[in-house]
Order: sequence, then C-alpha cells, then structure tokens
Amino acid sequence: MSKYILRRVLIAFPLILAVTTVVFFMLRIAVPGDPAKLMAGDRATPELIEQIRKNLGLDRPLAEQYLIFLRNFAQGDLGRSVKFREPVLGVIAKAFPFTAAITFLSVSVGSAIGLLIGIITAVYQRTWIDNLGIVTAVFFYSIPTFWLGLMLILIFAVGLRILPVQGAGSWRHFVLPVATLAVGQSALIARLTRSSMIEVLSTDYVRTARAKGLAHRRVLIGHALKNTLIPVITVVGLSVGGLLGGAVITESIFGLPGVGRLAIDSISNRDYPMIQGTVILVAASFVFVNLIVDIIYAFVDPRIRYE
Amino acid sequence: MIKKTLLIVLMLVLVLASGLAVAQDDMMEGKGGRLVVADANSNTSLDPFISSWHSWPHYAIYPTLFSRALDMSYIGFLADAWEVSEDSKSLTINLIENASFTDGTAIDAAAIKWNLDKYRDPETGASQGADLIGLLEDVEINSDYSFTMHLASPYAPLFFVLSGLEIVSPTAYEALGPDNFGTSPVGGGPFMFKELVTDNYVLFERNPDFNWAPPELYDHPGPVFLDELQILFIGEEQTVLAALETGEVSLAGIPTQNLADAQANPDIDVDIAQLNQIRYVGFNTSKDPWTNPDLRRAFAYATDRQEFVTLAWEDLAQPLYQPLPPTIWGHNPELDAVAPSYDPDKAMAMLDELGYVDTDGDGLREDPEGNAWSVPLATASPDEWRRQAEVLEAQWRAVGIPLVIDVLEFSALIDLTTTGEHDLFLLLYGYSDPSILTYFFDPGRKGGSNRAWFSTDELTDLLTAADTQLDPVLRYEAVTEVSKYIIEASPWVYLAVPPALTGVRAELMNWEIHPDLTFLYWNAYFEVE
Repeated sequence: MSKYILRRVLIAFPLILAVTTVVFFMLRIAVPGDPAKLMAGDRATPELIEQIRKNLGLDRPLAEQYLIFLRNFAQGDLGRSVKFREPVLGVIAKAFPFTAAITFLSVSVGSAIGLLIGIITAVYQRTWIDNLGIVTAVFFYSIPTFWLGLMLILIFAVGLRILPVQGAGSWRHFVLPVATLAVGQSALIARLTRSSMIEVLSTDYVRTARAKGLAHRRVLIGHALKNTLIPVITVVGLSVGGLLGGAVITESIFGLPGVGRLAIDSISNRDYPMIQGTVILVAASFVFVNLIVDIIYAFVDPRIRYE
Repeated sequence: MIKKTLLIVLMLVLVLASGLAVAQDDMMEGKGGRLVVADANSNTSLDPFISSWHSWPHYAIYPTLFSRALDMSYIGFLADAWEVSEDSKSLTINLIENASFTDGTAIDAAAIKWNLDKYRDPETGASQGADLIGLLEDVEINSDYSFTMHLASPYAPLFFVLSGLEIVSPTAYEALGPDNFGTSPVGGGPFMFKELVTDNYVLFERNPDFNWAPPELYDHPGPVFLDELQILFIGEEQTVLAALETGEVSLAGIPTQNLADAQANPDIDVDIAQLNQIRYVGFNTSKDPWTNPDLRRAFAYATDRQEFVTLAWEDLAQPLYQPLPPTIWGHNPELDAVAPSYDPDKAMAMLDELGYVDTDGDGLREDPEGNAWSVPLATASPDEWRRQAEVLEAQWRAVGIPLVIDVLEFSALIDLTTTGEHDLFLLLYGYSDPSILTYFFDPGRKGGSNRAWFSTDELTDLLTAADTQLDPVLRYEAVTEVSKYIIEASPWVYLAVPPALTGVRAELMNWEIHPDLTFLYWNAYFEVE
C-alpha cells in the first residue's frame, strides 16, 4: 500500500505541472484580456500600459516567463499577485481554511443525513416513507444554490436575526453556507445510497445472511452497508475535490473569503499568478482526494488491493 | 524678570493647551463606533502608485494637497497657501506645518517632492500620476514647508489632479518597497491602517494626531469621531442589502430594484443622487462603416433616451445627450438642444440615404451592397449591462438596425477596445473633471483609453485649449466647444447618467455626501457609552 501511495504522489507532480502549464499558456495566448490594461485605467496611454506590463514582467518573451515560473515553482514560489502584490501562496493560504471548513463540514453533514435517509428509504422501499424521501431528495437537489442561500439569509439572518448574513469571524458565520451546501449534498447521497442499498439488499449474500437468522439490523449494518458505501465514497470524494477548488456561488453569497471567490476575482482581473495558484490548488485537491478515496476503498472492501 | 515672563507665558500655554484638550475630549465624549462599509470596488492595492482605482481605503489613510469644498471649489488640505505664476507654468505651495505621517515623520516639502517625483516617473507606471508625466518638469524646494512645481505648459486640471494624488510616507515606502507597502501602508489621513485580510476586508483606526483637515469640511478640530472604519469587500448585491438591513453593514450602495424596500425600512436612510458617470455606446471610428459620421448620427437619432432610462434604470437615471453629465463641471445644458435626440423618422431617412435599406422585407436593413447587415455591440456580462444592451437592441431594431449583442467579461471588453478590431461597445466612464474627454479623444491614447479611436487635429486643438485655459469662465467656454464638436462628430451615443443610491444605517449621525459623491465621515459618529 505504501508503495502505491508513493507512486500516486509522484505521479501527481507531473500531472499538476501539466495542468498548470496548459493554464499558463491558455491565459496568455487564448484568453482575451490584459492585466496591464485593466490596471492602467481610463487614463491609459499605450506607453503607460507598456510600462505596467514591464513592471509586471509581462513584456518578456512567453518562453522566458514560463521558465521563470518553472524556476520559482520548483522553489515553492508561485509569484506575486498582480492585483494585491502579495505572494500568491500567502493569499491562498489565508483563503483555503475557509473553503476547507465549509467543504468538510457540508460534505460531512450532508453525507451523514443523506446516508440515513438513503438507508431508511431503501429499507422501506415502495412505502410512503420511501416516496416522501425520494420527493424530498429530488426537491432539494433541484434547488439552485444561489436561491437557497438567499432564502436562508432572508429567513435566519434578516427575519429571525439569529445568524449573521456574511463574514467568517466565528462558527455562526459558517452555519448558513454549510447548510446551503449540505442540502444538495444530502439529497445526492440519499438518492445514491437508496439505489445502491436496494441493489445490495437483493444480492445472494444478504439473502443468505437473512436465511441464517441474523437480525435485520445486523444484516443491514454489518453486511449490506459496507458494499453500499463504495459508490457513495466515490461521489463524496468528487464533491470534496470540487468544493475544495471553491464553492464559488456560496462563498460569494455569504461573503466568505474563500478560494472560489478568489479564483473568480483573479480571472476577472487577469491576475495570472493568482489564477495559476488556484488551479494548482484545485488540481492538487483532486489528486489528494482521489488518493484518499482509493485508500478508503481498500478499508471498506478488503477485496480491493493495490500493488 | 525675563525668566518670570517666560514662566508666565509657559503657564498660559499649558493652561490653553489643557483647555483645548479638555474641550476636544468633551466634544468626542459619547461619540465613536465602527463604520462598516460594503464596497467590492475597494478590494484593490492600498499602494496608490499601483492601484488605478482610488476609493474608501485611499481616502481614509492618505491626505492630498487639495480637496474640494461642498461648492466644488478647490480648498487646501495639506496646502495652506498657494500662488500660480503669471505664465501659469509654476505653482508655489506653502504647506501646513503641523501635519505628520503616522510613522511620525513630517509631511514637509521634501516628502511632497518625493511623492510628486514618484508619480511623474514613467517607470513607476502609476495610473494616478499619468497626467504629470511630461507635464511636471521639476519640483523645487523653497523651504521646509514650501515648494514650487514647474510645468511644461499651463494645465487647467492641475488642482483636480493634485486633489486626487495621495501622499504617502517616503520613509515607510522606501523601507517597505512596492511589494510590501500595500499591505502596511503609512499615510497621514484621518485614519491609520490597522489590519488587512486580503480579499476580505481592511480595517482602519482613528489617527489620534490628525488635526489638519480642511475646516471647510470639518466642523470640529482634532481627530475624527469614529473609532474605526472597516471596508468589507463584498459585492453580491442582495447579500449587501441584507447585511445593511441587519446592521452588519452601516453603509452600502442599494440596487435600483431594491430602492423601495430600503426606503420603507425605518432603520435605513437613503440618499439618492446622480453619479458623476455616464453610460454610452462608442463606435470604432477607425473601422468601416463607422468612419461615416452620418451613420453614427443615425444611431443617435434612433435612440430614445427617455425610454432607455425607464426600461433599463426604472426612471432613476437621467437621459444624456452630450459627452459630459450635469455632475461634471463643464456640462452645458444648452447643448442638449443641438444634440441629436430621438427622431426615428430622421434615423430611418438617414439610413435610407446611406444605402442601408430593407431589400428582403424582413424588417431589418441590408448593407449598401445588399448583403445581410449585422451590427455587433460588445458589452459587459453583468445583468445591468445586458439589460441596457437589450433596450438598445429593441429600439434600433424598430428602425431596422440588426444589432447583435456580444457579451464579454469586462477585462475582455476593455482589451477588445484597444485592438482596433471592434465595432460598437457599450461602456461607462466616471470622473469629476472635463479633462476626461482628453483621455478619450487624444490621438496618443488610441490603443489605450481612446476606445472610439477618434481624433482630429481640430478636436486636439480644442482639447488642448480647454486643458490649458486656467480662467474658469474661458475654460467653460472652451469645454463647451469641445462638447459641441464631439456631439457633432458623434463618436459616441450618449445614453444616461446612472443614479447613486446609498443606504446608511439610521444610527450613524451627522454624515453627509459630498457633491463629488464621496462620503463625508469627518463629522460622523455613532452614539457610544
């Protein structure tokens, strides 16, 4: 297993570098927009634009810019933000904890609720409990995040005045964004768990376990649940990877200074180093989460072994 | 005997000083609090040599040489007295002598010279100092608190420019360098820097030593009443409004569609004004067929500004027929009468005459060669801009102009206008001096801010005359001539002056909004225990 992990980690580096390289050249060649023109403002002369470009190092040949980027990247330096003039790594390090917090909280809460609903609806399939569970899950999964977020603000912050509208100063600031993300997550996991559990419950080994006279709860928890979890873990992993790259809408609505909002702002401002930094973070998040998911697979299903 | 006199004088000074301090303490008693402002546009570098957008944070920590009174006349801020030479090419300024930066260094002539030299240095690349490049030839220090600016030519907007140039501490800047000054800025304004959480907020605290505010704007001596000023970089309109309703935010812009709700809320005071901005459609006059002024004028006649402000701005904007809005000095209301206004019949007749006729009977015109005509209009992606473009599309379609809206991200839109490859673009400008027209119609700024790629020798002469005429009456006439010329040439279709809707929590006392739309917090306060 340790060899497998080491191999995956080693593969991650060229993968992240490849993604970053594509983004580096796409930004400068294929995407219109120029940070120098934006910074120059309404008084811009071509000379002023050129001077700003020079100050930012954007006047150098593309290959030279790339080599400088690679050299700095190898030293753990992602450059300085064009907009903030701060080291990219520092800015991301400040934003990432907020994103990580809402990601892990919302995925944990959403998955726990989703698992519970999924198991209950599977056990009581084709009853009113099942129907209610399915309808509720579809309803919540269909609600757009921005609408749900604003509704939660209107009810709990503006109406009841029990939670803050925006910010990130205390645990209370995280309740509404986590709830906004957890609702969709729980609905997704509930649907997935239900269908997976129904499939597992109809397998021979579950039937055998029942025939041996095992208690219903033991069959469910001890035998069926583990196999139900395999597809659920995959989806949870994808959700974590996606949200770590930034829950853009949620962060914007709740004024959370996370990675998603930072990435969008950076794209708007053509803040090349910052865009590259957030892309590296997203790529690394996906690689890391996929690795964790693979390891969890092995624990959940002993048949899975990595060489 | 001399010793005795000195002692008496010293005692009197001490008594007077302690009396003033007590009076100041009395005045500040029960006043304070933190003013929390929501403004996403303030999310920019705090280094004035880097940032092209200057807003709340910069006004809070940096002083300027001049400021503007409520009647928009120029008043001294750091400048105590000043004199323009007879040839209008030199400006001598005597500084107030009690001002200091928050690092303890004096705001003296040497510090001002350092700042002006840095702004005028092309290598700095400071957008804010763009006017001084090539204009300011030298800054001569006369004494510790007096200096003279020597100009290459007279420059009418000089006081406007100097009222916008923020003065930083040279000692701090040189110690920190351009990479770090923006995160630890040092100025000498009413507030001083306390904390910056990048992309989240910036927090300032009262500058306790600040007692050099312009008395015309400040009705008490000494520091501001507010303890702190926090600027939150949140831009989601509905979130900002909700935060204003709950009191998490004390001051914010209000979306047009939420004005009625805000006005109905007893906890919010609403201020309605017109922005010193305009919305306009520009033509790339260097590209056919937009080189033809008659074609451009036909579009102006096809535009119903009154309907435009109703549909796009819920009647809160003001229709505009000339390049300067009423909120910028130099606007001449008499020019509206000579400017093209809504006349669809005239627009259709002009288009017919130019050969743009509907040959296939589908209600849309073909080009003079009989080919399908398509008019691309590039605009920004936010809803506000799409709505404006859609109103124009409907109005112009009514006279047979087949408009195609091309929605771009703002940075891509700006980039497009510098290429010379574009056609029509829907954009804005905001400023407080008529010299803005030079930025937009200067032949040297094609590929920069001359987005219409429009210039003529005659217009350049008119702009130069307006920018070098220091007599206000004569300058007003010169600016009128510039506006008249631009109206006639029609490189733009002027659309509207948008509203400035500001919501302020009712608990904030004694605030005022300056005619230039800056928020005057100098006298503002919350009642505190």
